[in-house]
Amino acid sequence: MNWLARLLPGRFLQRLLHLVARRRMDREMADEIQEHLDEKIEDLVAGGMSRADATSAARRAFGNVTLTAERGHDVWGWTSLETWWVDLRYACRQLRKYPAFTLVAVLSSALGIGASTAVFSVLYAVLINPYPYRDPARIVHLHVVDKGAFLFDLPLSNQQFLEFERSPVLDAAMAMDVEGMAATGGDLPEPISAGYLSANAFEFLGVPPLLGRVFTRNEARPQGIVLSYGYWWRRYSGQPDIVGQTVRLDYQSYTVIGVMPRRFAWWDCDVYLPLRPSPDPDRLATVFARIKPGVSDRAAEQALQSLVGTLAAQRPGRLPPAFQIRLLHMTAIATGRLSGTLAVVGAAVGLLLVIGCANVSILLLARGAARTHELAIRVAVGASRIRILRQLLTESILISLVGGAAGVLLADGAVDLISILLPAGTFPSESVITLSTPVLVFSTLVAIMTGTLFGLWPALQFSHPEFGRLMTGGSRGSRCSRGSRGHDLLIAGQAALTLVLLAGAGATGRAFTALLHTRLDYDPQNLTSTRIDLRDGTYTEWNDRVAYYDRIRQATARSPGVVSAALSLTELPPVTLFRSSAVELSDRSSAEWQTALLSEVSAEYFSTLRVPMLQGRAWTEAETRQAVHVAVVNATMARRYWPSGSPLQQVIRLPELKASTTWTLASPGNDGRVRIVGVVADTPSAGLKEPSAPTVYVPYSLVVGDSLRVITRTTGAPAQATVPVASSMAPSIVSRAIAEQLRSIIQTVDPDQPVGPARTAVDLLEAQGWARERLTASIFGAFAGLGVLLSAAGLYSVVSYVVSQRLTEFGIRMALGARRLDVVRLVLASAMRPMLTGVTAGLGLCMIFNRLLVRWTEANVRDPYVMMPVILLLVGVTVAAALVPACRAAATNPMNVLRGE
Amino acid sequence: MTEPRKHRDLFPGALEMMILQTLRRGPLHGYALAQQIITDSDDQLRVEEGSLYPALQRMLKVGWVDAKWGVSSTNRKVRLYTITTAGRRHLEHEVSRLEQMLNGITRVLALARS
Repeated sequence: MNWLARLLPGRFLQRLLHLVARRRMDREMADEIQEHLDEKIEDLVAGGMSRADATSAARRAFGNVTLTAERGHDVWGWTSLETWWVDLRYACRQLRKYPAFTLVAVLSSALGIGASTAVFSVLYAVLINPYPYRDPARIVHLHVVDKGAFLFDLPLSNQQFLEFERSPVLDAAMAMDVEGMAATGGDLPEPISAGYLSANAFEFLGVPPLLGRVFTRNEARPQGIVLSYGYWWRRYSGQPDIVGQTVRLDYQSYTVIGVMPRRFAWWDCDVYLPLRPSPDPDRLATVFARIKPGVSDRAAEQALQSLVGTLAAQRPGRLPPAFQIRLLHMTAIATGRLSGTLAVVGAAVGLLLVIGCANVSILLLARGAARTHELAIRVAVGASRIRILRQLLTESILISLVGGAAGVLLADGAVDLISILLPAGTFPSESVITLSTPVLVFSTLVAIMTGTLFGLWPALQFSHPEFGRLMTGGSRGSRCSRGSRGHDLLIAGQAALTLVLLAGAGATGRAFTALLHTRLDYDPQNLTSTRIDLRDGTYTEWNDRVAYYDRIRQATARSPGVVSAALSLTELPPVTLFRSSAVELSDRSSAEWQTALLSEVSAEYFSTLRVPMLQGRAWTEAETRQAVHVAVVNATMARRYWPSGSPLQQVIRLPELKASTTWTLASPGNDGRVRIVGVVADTPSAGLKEPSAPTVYVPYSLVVGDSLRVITRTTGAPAQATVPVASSMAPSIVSRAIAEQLRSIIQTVDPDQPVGPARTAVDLLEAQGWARERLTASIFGAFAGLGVLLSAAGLYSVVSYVVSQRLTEFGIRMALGARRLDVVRLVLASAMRPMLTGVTAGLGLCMIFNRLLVRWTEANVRDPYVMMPVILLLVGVTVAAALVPACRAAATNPMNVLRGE
Repeated sequence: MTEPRKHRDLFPGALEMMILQTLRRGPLHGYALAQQIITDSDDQLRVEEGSLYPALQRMLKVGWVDAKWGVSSTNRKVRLYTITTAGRRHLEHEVSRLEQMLNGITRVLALARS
C-alpha cells in the first residue's frame, strides 16, 4: 500500500476513503434531518398547532429535503466518481448485451496489445535495461582500427594500464583476462571459463554480491574466488552454504568468498579470480573504461589516441603504424546486432496495433449507428454532449482494458517463445526477458491510450448534437454519409497497413531463404568444433605440445562415426576471426601496410570442411608436424594482392606469426616467412553478410598456443537433427552428445585434459544470422497473418452493416428488375473501392517502410515477386470477406423488404 | 432550485461564520443550532433551516467542526457539533476581514452622504 499512497495524491486517497464510508454518512445526515423535522413539529404542536399544520410548516421552514440531502452529499465530491461508476456498470451491461461484438473487439485489441507487450518486453530487456552494471552507457571497450578498417582489441600490460587509468577523460578503468581452467574437484576435469579481474573491477561494475563478498583492492585472501550465479547453480545446485568452501581449479585449492546475482554475467565467466598485476610487459589484459560524464566519444577518442600513441611507441611493432582508437560502447557490443531487428519488429508491431485499433473503431462505428435510438433518447432527456462522450469513451476504454488484460496473458506465452527463438549470443546474458513491472505499466498505458484513440472518433460522431436528429428524422436510404465515409477511411487505412505488414513478411521471408542459400563454400552439415584448453604449465616444450595435439587429432579421426578430424586455432566460419596480421609481400615495398586474417590450422582443415581447392595444393600432414613454412590463401587475398599474377610460390612475411606471450611456443627457426602453396575458395570469414576478407592459412604448428579447437566431420547421424529450419534448440542437444563422445576419445590420450563445449557448424550459422533472420521473418509472418485476419474481420463487419442498412434499397432494385448478381456486384464494389484506395496508399507507405527494412535487414519490398502475391492475397481476402454479406443481400426476398417498409 | 438561494446566504461564508460563532458558546445539534441562529438574529435573517446541513457537511469536510452522536436535553438521539481549533482560527480571520470590509463600506457611504 505504501507505493499506492505515494502514487496517488493525498486528497484523492481521502476521497477514496470517504467513498467507502459514503453510505453511512448519507444515512447519518438523513437521520439528522428527520430528527430536526420531528423536533420542530413537536415544538409547533406544543405551541398549539395541529399536527398536520405543524408537519407542513416544519417542511416549509426546512426547504426541499431531498435537495438538501443531495447538496450535503455533493459536498464530498462523490458525484464524479459515482457517475464514473454508473458509466462503467452501463458499459459492462452493453458489452454483455452484444457478446459477438464484444468478443471481436476484445480479441482485436488483445492481439494488438499482446503483441506490443511481448515486443516491448524484449525491447526493454535488451535495449533499455540490458545490464545491471553501474552507468552501463558510459562503459566502453577499446579497439584499434588500422587503414584497412580491421578491428583489433587493444590489450594493455599492467604498466600501460596504470598509465591509461589515469587519463583525465576516464572515470575509472578495469582490466580483465579470460582464460579456460579446469574444475578438478570431480571425477573428470570440467572446463570452465575463468575471468581474472583487476582488484577494482567489482567496484567499477558496481553490482553487490548475492552471497558473501567480492575481492577488493587490498585483498587479504589471494586464493579467494567469486562464483557466477549460473555456475553456482550448475555445479553446486545453488547450495546456500557455498561461501567459505574450498574448490579445486587446475589442481589448486581456492576458497569461495562470494556468489554474484543472476544478472551479473560479465563476459559469461563461471568464476572470477583476482588478476594479479604482472611486471611482464608481454602479459596483456583486456581493458574496459568508464568515460567521464559529459565527455563526447570524439573527445575521448582523441585524448586516448595520443595516450595510446605514446604507449605504442614504448613497444614498437605491436600496433600498425597508422592506427586509430575506437570506443566500442558496452551497450553497442551486445545490442548492436539485435537493435536493427528490434527496430523493424517494433515498427511491425506498431502497425499491428494500429490495425487492431482500427478494427475496434470500425466495430464501434457500426454498432453506434445501430444504437442511434438509444443515444437519441439520451440526448432528448437532456444528456449533455460531454456526458455522452464520456459514456462512449468509458465503453471503448473498458474494451481495451479487457483486451489489454487478455493481451498480457497472450504476451506471457509469446515472451517464452521469443526467448527460445532469440539466437543465443545476439542479446546479452545479463538481460532477462520477462513481463516486468515497467512492461506491465507500458501495456496498461497502451491499453488506455488505444482505448481513447479508437473510441474518440466514433464517440465524437455519435455525441454530435445534430446526430440524433439526422439519424431519426432523415430518410432511410441516404443517411449516414458521415458514418460511411468514416468506414471507408478506416477500411482503406487498415488495408494500407496490412499491405505493409504483408510486404514486410514477404520480403523478410525471401531474405531468409536467400540467406539459407548463400554460397558458403564449405559444407556445414555434420561438422562440429570442440575447444580444448591445456592446463597451465603442461606440455611446455614445442615438440611435446605439437605431438600431443597430433595424437588427439589422430585418436579423434580414428574413432567410429568420425569421417575426418582437423585442428584449428580459431572458430569455424562464419565466425569473424579477430586474429589478423600484417602481410609483407616480398616483391613489394614494405611501405604498403597490407593485412590479412590469420587462420592457423592443421593440414586436414580444408578436406574436413570441404573447402574447394582452386589452385595448387594443401600442405601435408607431415608438413604440419615439421612446421614447414607454407601457407594457403583464399581467393579474395589472391585477387587483391596479386591481381595479375599467381600467388603460388610467393613468399610473404607475417610479423604476427611469432610467440608473443609466454604461453605460446614458436617452432624452431620460425621467422614469420611462409611460401604460398595453394589457393582455396572464400568461406565467410567476417560474418554471413560481409564479403570475405583476405585470409591466410598457415600450419598451426608454427606457433602453438595453449588452446585450440578439434574440428570433426561425422557420418550422417547428427544430420537429421540439424536441418537448417529446425528449432535452434535441436543442434545444441546434438553437440552435447558429440562433446561427450569427444571427451571420452581425448581423455584416452590424456585423462586430465578438460574438453570444452562442442558447437556444430549449423549452430554457428544460426547464431551468426540464420536465427535472427528467421526470427524477423517469422514475427513478420505472424503479424501479417494476424493483420490479414483483423482486416478481414473489420471488412466483414462493415460490409454486413452496410448491407443491413441498404436492404430496402436492394429490395427496391430487385423489385424493379435487378438480378441477384447485380446486387452481389454492388456490394463487392462498395467493399473494393476503399480496399483499392488502401492498397494504393499502402504501396506508398511501403516505400517509406522500406528504408527501415533495407537499413536493418537483408529484405527489400521493392520486389515484384513479393508485391504481386501480396496484393493478390489482399484482394482475395477482400472478396472473401465481402462475399458472405453480399450473398445474404442477394438472397433477401424483395417482397418482404418492401412490406416491412 | 433557484428560489431558496434568495435568502440562504447574505454573502458567501456568512452562514458558516454564524454557525461557528454560535458553536463557540458550546456544542449544539442541528435543530438547536438553527433555532439559536434565528433567535439571535431576531428573525431578521430568514435562513432556510435545511441550508444548515450542506453547510455543516462542508465544514465537517474541511475540519472546522466535529460531530458526535449524543443525547439532547429533551432526551433525543442527536448529532452534536463542536467547533475545532481550525474552526476558531477561521472564524477569527473571517470576522476581522468582515470588520475591515464593513469599515471600508461605512467610510465610502459616509463620504457619499456628505
